[in-house]
Amino acid sequence: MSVPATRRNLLLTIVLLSVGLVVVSLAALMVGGVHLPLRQVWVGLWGAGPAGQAEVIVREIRLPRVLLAMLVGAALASSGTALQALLRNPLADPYVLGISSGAALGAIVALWVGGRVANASPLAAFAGALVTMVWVFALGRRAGRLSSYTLLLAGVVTASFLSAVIIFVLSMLSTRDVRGTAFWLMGDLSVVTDVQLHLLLPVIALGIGGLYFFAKDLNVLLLGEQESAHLGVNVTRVETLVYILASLLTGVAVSVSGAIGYLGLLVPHLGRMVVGSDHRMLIPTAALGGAIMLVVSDLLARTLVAPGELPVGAVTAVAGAPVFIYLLRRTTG
Amino acid sequence: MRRIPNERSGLKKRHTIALLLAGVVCMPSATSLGRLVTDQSGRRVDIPASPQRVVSLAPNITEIIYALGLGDRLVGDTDYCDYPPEAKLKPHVGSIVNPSLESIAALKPDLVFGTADANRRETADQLERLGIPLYGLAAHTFDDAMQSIEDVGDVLGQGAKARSIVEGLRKRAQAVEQRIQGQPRPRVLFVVWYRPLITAGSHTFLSDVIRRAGGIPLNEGLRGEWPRLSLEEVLRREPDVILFPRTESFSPALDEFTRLPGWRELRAVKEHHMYFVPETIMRPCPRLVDALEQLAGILHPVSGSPSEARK
Amino acid sequence: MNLESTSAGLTHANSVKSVGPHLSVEGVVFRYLHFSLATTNFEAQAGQVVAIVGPNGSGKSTLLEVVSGHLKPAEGRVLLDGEDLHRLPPRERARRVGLAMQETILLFALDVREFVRQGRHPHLGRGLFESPEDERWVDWALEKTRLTEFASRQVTEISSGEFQRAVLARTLAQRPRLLLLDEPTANLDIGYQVEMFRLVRDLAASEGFVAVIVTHELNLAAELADTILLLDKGQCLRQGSAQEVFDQELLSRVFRTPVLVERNPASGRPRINWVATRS
Repeated sequence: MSVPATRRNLLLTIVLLSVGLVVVSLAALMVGGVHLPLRQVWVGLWGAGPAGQAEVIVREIRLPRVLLAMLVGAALASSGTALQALLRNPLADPYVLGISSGAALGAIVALWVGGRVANASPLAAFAGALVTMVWVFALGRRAGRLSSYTLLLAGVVTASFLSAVIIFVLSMLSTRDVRGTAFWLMGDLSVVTDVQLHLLLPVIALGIGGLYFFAKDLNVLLLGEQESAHLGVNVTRVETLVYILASLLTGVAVSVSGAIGYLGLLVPHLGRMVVGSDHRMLIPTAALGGAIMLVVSDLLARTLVAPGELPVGAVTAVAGAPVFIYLLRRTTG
Repeated sequence: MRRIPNERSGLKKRHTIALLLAGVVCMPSATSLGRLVTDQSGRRVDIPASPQRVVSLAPNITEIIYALGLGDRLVGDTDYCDYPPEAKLKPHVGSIVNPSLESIAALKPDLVFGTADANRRETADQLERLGIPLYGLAAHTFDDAMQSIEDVGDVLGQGAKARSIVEGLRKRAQAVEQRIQGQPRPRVLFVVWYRPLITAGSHTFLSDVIRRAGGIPLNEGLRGEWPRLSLEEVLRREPDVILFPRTESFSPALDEFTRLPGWRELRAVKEHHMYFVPETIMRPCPRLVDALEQLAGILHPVSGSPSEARK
Repeated sequence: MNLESTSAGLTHANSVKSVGPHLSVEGVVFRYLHFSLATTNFEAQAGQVVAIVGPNGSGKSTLLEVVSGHLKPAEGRVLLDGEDLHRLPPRERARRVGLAMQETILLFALDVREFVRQGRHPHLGRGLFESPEDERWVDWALEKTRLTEFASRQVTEISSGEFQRAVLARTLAQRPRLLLLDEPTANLDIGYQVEMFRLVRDLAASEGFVAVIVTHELNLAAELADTILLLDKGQCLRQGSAQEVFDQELLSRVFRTPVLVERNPASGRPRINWVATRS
């Protein structure tokens, strides 16, 4: 099914999904080890004065997590959408070009080095992501131009190589540190500083906005590189910029929250099932849908085995796949 | 592979059977006479009477062997065996999780020591196939740790010395317990890793040590060795003290936590009751008691001022 | 170099006044790795259909891409209405030139209408969405290619013949002044082949654009094209009307098999058949 891209439909979709996001976010603020009524959540968010335990839970623990989940979910889903169009491959996800492996390796190397460097692991991760981005780009060029085909191959090869290096480095660390690296393999939303949140919001907003700028071009790009060129698209410029934006979004998300899987692959497809492949509708749908999905997944991760926690990446995988299968059967059955 | 007793001519069959029966009867835990024993982890192993060439697959075992004065019998240890300093000079066989079987075999040991917590079952099985027996230690409590020291002593023929060492250690532990008796016990959160937040489970060795040092570990209801814990739950349980193990790769700047959302609201963070403890707190070996004393000093300061171990 | 020209072929561009688009391919040479297109010249007026024929590997598709302005000729230039096509920015060029070559396989769900709508891309202004006029051209293109009833079907679900018509529709939606088609009838049955050629010819006349078609259908070219170029190994061996170009001996040599050139009694145009031989 596809919803024609018109101003009215776009606004309607954005409003509906935004309302949905607000609803699940409030639910996430209310539910947890302690269930808080809406009134207390409201006070916790906006109230001044001395903070009781409930307000602290809301403001200090749940709110940063919910905000982080929104931002990371939106970033990964948008990046996945853009990469699926760029590579013309429905199996592409934000990590297929090796960005998350590069970020994980950057952080793990920082841990290995130890000391002060280990404390700056988000920065080291982002550095790893950037280096990988440049490396894959250089490798993915053919005859001086970016080709989506060679880009995909370069990315897959790099990702495999980096994963092997990661396993090698992990085997050199002692057993206890191996446990901590679960973060990179499964993702975690529990630690985020104010500074990080303040940086993430504009960066991710600009990144998604930038991708939206290329929405029309991405539609044409789906037809093929040659066909796009013949329809007047500056293919190299569009592909390069989309690649950079998608990689930055992924790199920033992974640096702060580890590699949360399946979201960047599933949400674009879920979005297409609902609004179609027109990126003018799909990008906002995927961004908001990704935010909703991650907020819900994190809520489940926090509550299903309380007082313990599940890794959020496990929840996105286990919860996302059946949803996808159900929708798939409904559309094709 | 079982070691088959050498056929000794002149010994009548009847006597051989009697001797074997005697050996079976004397079996329960490691004795210097028995060849077939049950190690501390519950496995049945066939070990030599007097092992001369020994390989250690975990740092705590290395420490125990040296403490018993048997360092010259140690022919190999892991890359991570760092105490005493002489241990670093021994031939290394690799990591704890993945030691090199070839390296172990090349050293021609007659016995290998391992632990159930750190080493893998597969390593033991593979060594078995190579004809190298592995004696497994397993310490889930402080008492188990003391038992480990005695077991190593018995296996290596220094049982008496081991028992005297253990006696001294127990005395010190008791002294700690007496000192802190009657004092209010602080609630302790032990942070193995903070991202995600991982702590020690309620039935682990670490929890037992914390209890003996006079603290209440904050992990009721958390099963497993290294469970993840949500920060919300930590906030609800209100730790008085937060402990971090000081290792090479994990030394977070403690004032970082005063800036992290959630953490900064914990009373323990606000009042700076965050301390590093030496890694040996998780090592079942003689130095464990040093760490225990140090921890007791943190949790129950003698003079009322903070212990040196902070930050 | 082995250029045989006739009166219909070479004319110097600037001296001709024309109402509609005027295509002038002047002294164009193209080189790529081991392949080269020798100097080629031809011209076409609004409403005319040019067919490029020749054996596989003769450079027909390459010539088409050079004519589109997409590939830069090593020598010479291509002018449409006096403008050098290669020098135009890609978007400008896409507003004037519609080029449909072999299509990439689509893996994403796209309905036919969306597919055809992409043809309006070069014309979309700063706005985010298509204007009503854009939608009208999409409707027109669908109607002309008789795809209106397929508009909401998925592009991956229609037959290959229908897909080729969709590609033509998309190119038509660009409202080009120069329409370039690379083997547009490759997967079509005889009925659709004839229909496609007739459609292009009729539209070229009614809408006033120049059409250049690369094709293997010699007979359709003979019937419906105004000018034919015969290429072999990068060289234009002969160009002109069907009678001039379709010489039996030449064709047999070029296509490496004996052919028989007869006359279609109905139209007077040449009709080519291959000769059945045993052994």
